[in-house]
Amino acid sequence: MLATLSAGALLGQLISAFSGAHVGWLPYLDSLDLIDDEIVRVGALRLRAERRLVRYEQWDNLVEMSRYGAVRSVASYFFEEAFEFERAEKSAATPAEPVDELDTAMFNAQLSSDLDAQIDIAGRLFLVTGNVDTLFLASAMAEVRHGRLEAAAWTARTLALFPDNKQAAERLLLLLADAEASEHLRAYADALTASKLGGAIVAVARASLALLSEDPKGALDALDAARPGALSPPRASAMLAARVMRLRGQALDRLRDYRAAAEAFLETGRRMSDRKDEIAHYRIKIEAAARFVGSGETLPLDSHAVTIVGFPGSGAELLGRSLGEHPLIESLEAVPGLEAALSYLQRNAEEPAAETTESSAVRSEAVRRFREEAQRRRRKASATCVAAIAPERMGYAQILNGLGPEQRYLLVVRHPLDLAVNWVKREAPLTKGMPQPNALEEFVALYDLVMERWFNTFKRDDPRVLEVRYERLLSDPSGTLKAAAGIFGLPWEGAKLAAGLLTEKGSKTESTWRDYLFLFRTAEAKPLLKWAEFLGYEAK
Amino acid sequence: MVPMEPQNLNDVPFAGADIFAPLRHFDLLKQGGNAYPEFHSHSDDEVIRVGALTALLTTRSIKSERYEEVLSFCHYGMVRLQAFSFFESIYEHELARRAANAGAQGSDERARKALIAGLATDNHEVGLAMGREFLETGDPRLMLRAMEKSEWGGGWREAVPWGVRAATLAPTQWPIFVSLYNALSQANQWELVEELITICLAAGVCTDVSRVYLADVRLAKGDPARALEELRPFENMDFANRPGMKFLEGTLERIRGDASEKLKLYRKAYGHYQNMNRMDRDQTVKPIVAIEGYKARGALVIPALPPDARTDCVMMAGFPRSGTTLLENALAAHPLVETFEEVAALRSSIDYIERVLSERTPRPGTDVELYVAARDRYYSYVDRFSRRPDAKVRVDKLPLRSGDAAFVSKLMPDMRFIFAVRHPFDVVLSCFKQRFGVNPAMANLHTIEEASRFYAFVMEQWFSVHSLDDPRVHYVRYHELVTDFQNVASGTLRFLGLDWDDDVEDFATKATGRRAKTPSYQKVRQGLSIGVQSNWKKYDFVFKSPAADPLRPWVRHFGYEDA
Repeated sequence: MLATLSAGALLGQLISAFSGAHVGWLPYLDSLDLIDDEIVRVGALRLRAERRLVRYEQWDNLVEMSRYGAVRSVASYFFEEAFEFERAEKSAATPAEPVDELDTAMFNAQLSSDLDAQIDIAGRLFLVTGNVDTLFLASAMAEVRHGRLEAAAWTARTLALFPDNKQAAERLLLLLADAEASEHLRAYADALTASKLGGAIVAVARASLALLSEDPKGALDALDAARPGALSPPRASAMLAARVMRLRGQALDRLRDYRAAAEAFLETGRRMSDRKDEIAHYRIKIEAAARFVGSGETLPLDSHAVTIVGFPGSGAELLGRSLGEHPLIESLEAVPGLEAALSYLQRNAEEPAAETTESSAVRSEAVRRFREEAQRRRRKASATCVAAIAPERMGYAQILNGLGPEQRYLLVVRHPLDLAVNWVKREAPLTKGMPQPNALEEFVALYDLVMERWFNTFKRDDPRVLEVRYERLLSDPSGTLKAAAGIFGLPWEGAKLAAGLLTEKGSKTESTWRDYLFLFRTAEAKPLLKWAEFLGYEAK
Repeated sequence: MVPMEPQNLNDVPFAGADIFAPLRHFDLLKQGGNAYPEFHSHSDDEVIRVGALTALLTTRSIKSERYEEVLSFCHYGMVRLQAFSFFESIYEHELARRAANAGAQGSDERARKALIAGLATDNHEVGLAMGREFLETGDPRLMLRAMEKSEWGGGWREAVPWGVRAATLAPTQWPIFVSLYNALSQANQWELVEELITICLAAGVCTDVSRVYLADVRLAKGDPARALEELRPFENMDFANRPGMKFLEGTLERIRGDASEKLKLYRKAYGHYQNMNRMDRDQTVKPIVAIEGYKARGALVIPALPPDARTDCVMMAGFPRSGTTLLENALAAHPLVETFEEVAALRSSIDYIERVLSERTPRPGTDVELYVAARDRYYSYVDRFSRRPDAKVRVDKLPLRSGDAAFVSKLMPDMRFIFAVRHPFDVVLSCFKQRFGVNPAMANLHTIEEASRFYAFVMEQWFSVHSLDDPRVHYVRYHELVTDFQNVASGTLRFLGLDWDDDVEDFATKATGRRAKTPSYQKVRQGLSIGVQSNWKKYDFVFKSPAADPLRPWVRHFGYEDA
């Protein structure tokens, strides 16, 4: 509704315009006026009025555009300061879209998990308020819903309208780099170079480009070309500094200097804020939750619902999304059913509600809430089965078993040393809802805790659990998915689509633990070797 | 549907017997946990109640028995947002849905109303709008703006309740307490200042800031030695690490200066005022800009213009601290006089001329048309902001208008003036001791030397156009105004074509209800009881120095005694 240009075209135009941001506000704003985008047009006019750069011949337009709240609030002051009271009053009296109605719409879109509506409303909120946070919100949601390029287009709008916003400048860089959008990334680096802004961002952009074109040496050169101290806090943000270390690690990894690469990767964790005892807190949280659950009413067996678990990074999402290609299976991510049930149980333990004093009634309501969270998120009309992707629930095995003793699981396992190496390389953060380790020993402690929790409850031969190996999923997608779909009693029919997804993924996730074996020759790393042996993986 | 409004936003429920009633529960802060917001979430004042309920929601500490109550307040945006977020965080989706759809409405109508009230300088309405906006966003800065605007609209009595609400809901925010102390002390409400200090110090809230103002109270109550004693703990303080203190460094020096002066330690006092000015100086504000502006406008070639049809407007000029605020307040008490205090009427003409000359606005056909249009803008501005249609005379007071004498004489050759005169040494000394708002003109007043040069420059501009016997100018001498008020004020009223009115003598009462727009208000509110304020002889070591040389011709010009 708001955009007329594609994300790619808009990005190109905005980055091109941004390259002129240093020339002067007036020519810069004139160049933004040429971009056919409602957000940019309104934002640029607001900027013009804020900076008192509205030409006399644009005054009528400024009054007319006061139908946008973002323009109205500054237009009224602009005219007042110019002692043009009639125009000021006309601007002030122009109706705009009400913020509270948009807020209501946003809340309801959140309740119905309608991301497209949320993106649209966030954009409209910008048109009403001119608040930069609404653009960041739109970008964050666009990333979830449509991917990094759409998110980058929103962030480019933000940067175009708030050219001094460092957060937007960094986010645009990271989105373009992660989207591997080389052409836009190059244009962005050139724009920043031309404007003599963001030297650190330019260095990271050039390093990312070099890595994308398989030039690890060039990447290191680009990082080394930055001014001393420019790529570390406090001059660079923690986020940018972390990316620098990751790029350095990736470049060294490709140059096969694994020890130096590991040093660079692990430096990121050392630089993060000192969060202490997160793993211990996680253990306490799980144990406290177990006390609230107690015993009583349980979830009846739902043969159409399976929970996919696995230590984060093992491929639970990949398996779930692949199964979701089946017309009769809907895969759901981040369903907080367990959290909803636990929250209810905890509140009733601390502050019993009058209407549910009976413990069985409380338990029954908790179980209902568990199921409701998945039901609320169902969108696929053809699906009869649900695969809930919930790797973070692995640590809560005892509670899951207590609430639904008949429930079935797909457990995805992967070589523990590959998981550890991937964590070292910061390929992706661990799943939300789990602690984020800073050091390798913390990662090992977390892995050990989660695996212990799971296998203390579910033995390897438990008939309720079907174990899927990540490595096998990649080497034999059809066979593995066929077996996994069998848990629903369904034949595998989505092989073609899923195989493409898996082949693409497989080419990027080779097993590399042997290159980094030196990391695991410490006493702290021993639990990983124990679990590798337990799961039947080679680790020598 | 009619937008829902707070029950008592317009009232001041705790402004009766105990204006600080909500602040008397700071001790609950020491209990920790939610005791403090829990207590205030039952307040009779809707703003405090809503703010405290929101605080409980933000910390996820609201009890389930109050969920329905929370929902009943979700027509306020700040509650709605936090309630929605809270209910979603505990997976109570139905309650979240009810919060989301709780009927908040009217935001656009309110926004438009606030903008229009702002344009009409309806400060009372803008103050209410800011307070209402706080209930939408929860931003405590809006309560400070509500306080500021309410003070402009109805003086300290309207302002303080907003400060009390803000201080109740954000007791760690020292700027709120500074605003409260300033509003009360500028209104000479020293008993209330002292009471607030007692509350804060007993509860350990905002203690550093409160101690500074305690020194001010001691000073106001005539105990300068004790004032200095109260400031002793600040002597070796590392201000950079004490919240609010960096901001108050200048205030400390002002109090030390005033106290030392009262103790007749004039050289010491002078040193403190020097420090205060050094701290208040803003390097980004260039004093020369003001001087260049006067010169450029004075040099404009303005053709002879048609006669000015308006005869009801009179400008009041002089120099800051010459008695213009006193005289303006006295005239404002007359039923047929409307005064305008430091408004932008002439600025609107100047702005138009500048825009036309820099080709940012189309040029009218001829220069005469241009300057007549500029002159009309002056009167349009006055008419626009006039609140007393029955007034026969409108007095536009801006002391430094004297610097624009050449420009005004060409644009409005028929304009009449009231010009306040005071001993130049006293004027400059008083300016040096004041803390004015930061702007290029006032940036010329940070040292005696600079202020003397600026004074001389401004007087040169004035007397290059007018003489002491100019029939269009009525000169009022400050010491005569204070010592022979009725005669002098009657003379001024005669110049305006008006008769004496007894209300004029009671001007101080009316001044109490006005916002302290300039530092002069504290004294104006004391009425004529302050007597003649002449201090320069106590600082004769300054006025005998070359720094005061630019003033000497003007001392002689006005017939005053030299150092």
